[in-house]
Amino acid sequence: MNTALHVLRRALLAIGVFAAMAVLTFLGVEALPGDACTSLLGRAATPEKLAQCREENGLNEPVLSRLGDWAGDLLHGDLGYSIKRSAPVGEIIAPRLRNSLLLAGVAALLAFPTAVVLGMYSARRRGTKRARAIDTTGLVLMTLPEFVTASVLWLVLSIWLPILPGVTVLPSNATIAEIMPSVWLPAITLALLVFAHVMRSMRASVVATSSRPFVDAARYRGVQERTVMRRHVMPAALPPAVNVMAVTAAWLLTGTFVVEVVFNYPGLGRLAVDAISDRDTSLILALTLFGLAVFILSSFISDTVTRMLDPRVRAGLGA
Amino acid sequence: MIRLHDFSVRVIAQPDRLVLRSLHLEVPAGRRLGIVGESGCGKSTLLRALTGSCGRGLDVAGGTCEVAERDVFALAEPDRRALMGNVVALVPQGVALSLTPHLDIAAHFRDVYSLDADGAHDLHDRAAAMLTEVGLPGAAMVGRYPHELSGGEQQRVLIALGLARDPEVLLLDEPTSALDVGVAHDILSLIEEEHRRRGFTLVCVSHDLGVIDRIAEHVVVMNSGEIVEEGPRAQVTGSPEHPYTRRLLAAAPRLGQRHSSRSLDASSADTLVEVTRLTVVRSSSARRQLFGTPPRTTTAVNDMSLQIRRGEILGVIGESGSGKSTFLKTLCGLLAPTAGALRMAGTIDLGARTSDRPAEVLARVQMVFQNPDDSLNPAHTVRRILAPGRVGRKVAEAELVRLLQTVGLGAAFLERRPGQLSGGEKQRVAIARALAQRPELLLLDEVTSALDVTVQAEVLATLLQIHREMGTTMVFVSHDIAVVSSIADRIAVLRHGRLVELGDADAVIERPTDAYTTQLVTLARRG
Repeated sequence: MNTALHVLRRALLAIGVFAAMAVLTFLGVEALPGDACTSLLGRAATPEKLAQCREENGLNEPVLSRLGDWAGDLLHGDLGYSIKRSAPVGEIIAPRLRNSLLLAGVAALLAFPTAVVLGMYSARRRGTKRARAIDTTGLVLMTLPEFVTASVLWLVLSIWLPILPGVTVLPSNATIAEIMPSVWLPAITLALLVFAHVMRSMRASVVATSSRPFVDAARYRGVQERTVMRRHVMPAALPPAVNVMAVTAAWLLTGTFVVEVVFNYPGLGRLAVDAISDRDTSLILALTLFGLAVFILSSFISDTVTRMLDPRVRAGLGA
Repeated sequence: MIRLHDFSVRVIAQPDRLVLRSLHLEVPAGRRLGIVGESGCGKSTLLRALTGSCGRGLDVAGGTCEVAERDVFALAEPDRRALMGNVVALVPQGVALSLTPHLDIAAHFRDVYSLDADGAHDLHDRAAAMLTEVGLPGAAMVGRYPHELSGGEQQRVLIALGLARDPEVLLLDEPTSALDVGVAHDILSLIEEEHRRRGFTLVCVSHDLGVIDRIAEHVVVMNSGEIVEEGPRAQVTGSPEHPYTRRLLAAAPRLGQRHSSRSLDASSADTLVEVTRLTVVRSSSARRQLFGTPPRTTTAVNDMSLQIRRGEILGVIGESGSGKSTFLKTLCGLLAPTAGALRMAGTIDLGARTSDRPAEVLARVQMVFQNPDDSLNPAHTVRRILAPGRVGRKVAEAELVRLLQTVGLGAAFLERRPGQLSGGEKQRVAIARALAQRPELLLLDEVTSALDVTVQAEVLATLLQIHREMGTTMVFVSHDIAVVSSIADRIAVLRHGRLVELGDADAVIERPTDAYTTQLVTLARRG
């Protein structure tokens, strides 16, 4: 099967999954007790005011017709309007998405290359003191809860050696230059968290690949060790690690609630926490769908990379 | 060229355990040496040692190993690396796994040629020339990936890669195992031809005396890490001195050398299973993927009709892809026929899958698989394997012991687990498990091909004894015509899913009518 056809097939499949999940999410939010009006009016809610609010915002329409409207708007790129925040959802999300991308990007750049290199090192030098130290450190970092890592980093880098701001006091639409100093602490916390997962999968994968017969076969015909690692071991060892990295990257973009709350970082994670406690339905919907899109995209990317690395997958034979 | 002096290799974790014991060996330049022995005798370790590395978990316990006037274990690592490919090249066993799956053939050659001073320029031409030398269409081959090649082509590529930098010593580990007989024959011819052309020193390791007999001038027989016999080929294989060598020679199956006394009057025997126009189409995946192309299908068995006679041993021969395993799996209900009928004892429909067969029909047809490591649950004791309790017939204690005795094992084996058994013992347990159900039809799928020759001979003898005592009808499937001819009353030859020849064993061996069978017999005689 050629690659274009494969990409097309995967894209169609992704759109189908996305559409089905969008409808399910809409119905799920619908099933929650309360709606945007009870949340907006809060304790001031009287039956009359509620009825008026629902009338004004079109919440009395039947579910299916509202689903239709919402889906139609979505197709036109309109994510809806937050009654609670009196602003279009798109405008609320945009600057925070940028901040989250910045945070996730910095964290990924700190974590992934180090993890891949150290994972390879630890696999090739397994049994040595240094490799064991790397493995143990990774394991400890992985098991520490993020608020502990965050607090320790904050204590060290912000209080004892005050080189980084501990809490972000900037609005979400500050410029990148303004926000950059505040990125470091949450980014380092996230990087330390995800680093070990990637490193361990890389290590396991390199160890498994190194014992495959074709690796020794290459050595026995005199191929240099550097070439053996770079061209025979690495491309075969990467797909599992790429898979882990793709899922991790998606998580960095969508699952960083705790770290963002701890550092008061104006990203999507904190916004999601706020949106849920506010019952801001249109915002919850938009954020859920965004998360979904990120995961679909990341698995698509990791599949494509796997295809590029293995001709047998391209031929539809399975690895 | 190669000189071993008092050379020993041990297991690092257990320094008392020697894998190679005080070996002395001299091989002059240009000589063809064959090393033969059974699994665990140390022959592969010896071959690896000639590259200056014994393998994981092993180290040198004493003595010296010189290759091309260099003590390979005294070399610094960079010098040892420089030796490989230039002076010594090793083609390891396991053809299908020895090429890197994500690299095309050109990339394999680039890694080898990039070590030369003139680097990898005109890579394609050099690779193509090398491939042409080993009998492949060079220019068409360089851009292809390993999975697109047949086993024989892969082995040719591996030999070409080993020879690419014109080494003084070529080491081959089981160069023909896992290849079909015809292909194996061609590979051995290629090796002989390359040896004439290039004049390297050849060391070839094999468990198969036929291979060694064909390719070597000088033969070394190994057992338990020691060289038990050594000498010119004609002397070792013609008039062996050591009892072990004699045992090895006697165990090797020979064409037409029957172990059984034929008790069956073939003409009067009635039919146990009637196979009528059986066709089995297999597909590459069980389900169609969403928006995907339909799975590839192959007709594994094509319009096959034959009778299995009550009380006979029917031998089935074929190379990989001939449909012999599919035939057995359909008989025992692991696969369903696409068309045609399978009838046992006139009334029982064997076209049904195992899930649709009544318990007593399941018991009447039993199968023993090729690899006991896969077919025996390693967590279960032999007792539980033979009498699982919930499924199949209840087996009394006394009968368990009798079953083990039938397959040549003692009552002590009941409480052991597969991990504590040797390969031959495991296969015996698998046979006993099948016999525990008192089958009328016993299906044997390559049951001896994972075993050493001496063990194979013992297991074959056990099967014949079971046949004599119980009269169980057997279908014995193998790729090895000599093994089949040593046990079968009649022989069926399959090729590409079709039955090309069926007849009495002697007739098929002595007067084959089909061209393919003739080729198989000729090759087997030569080996």
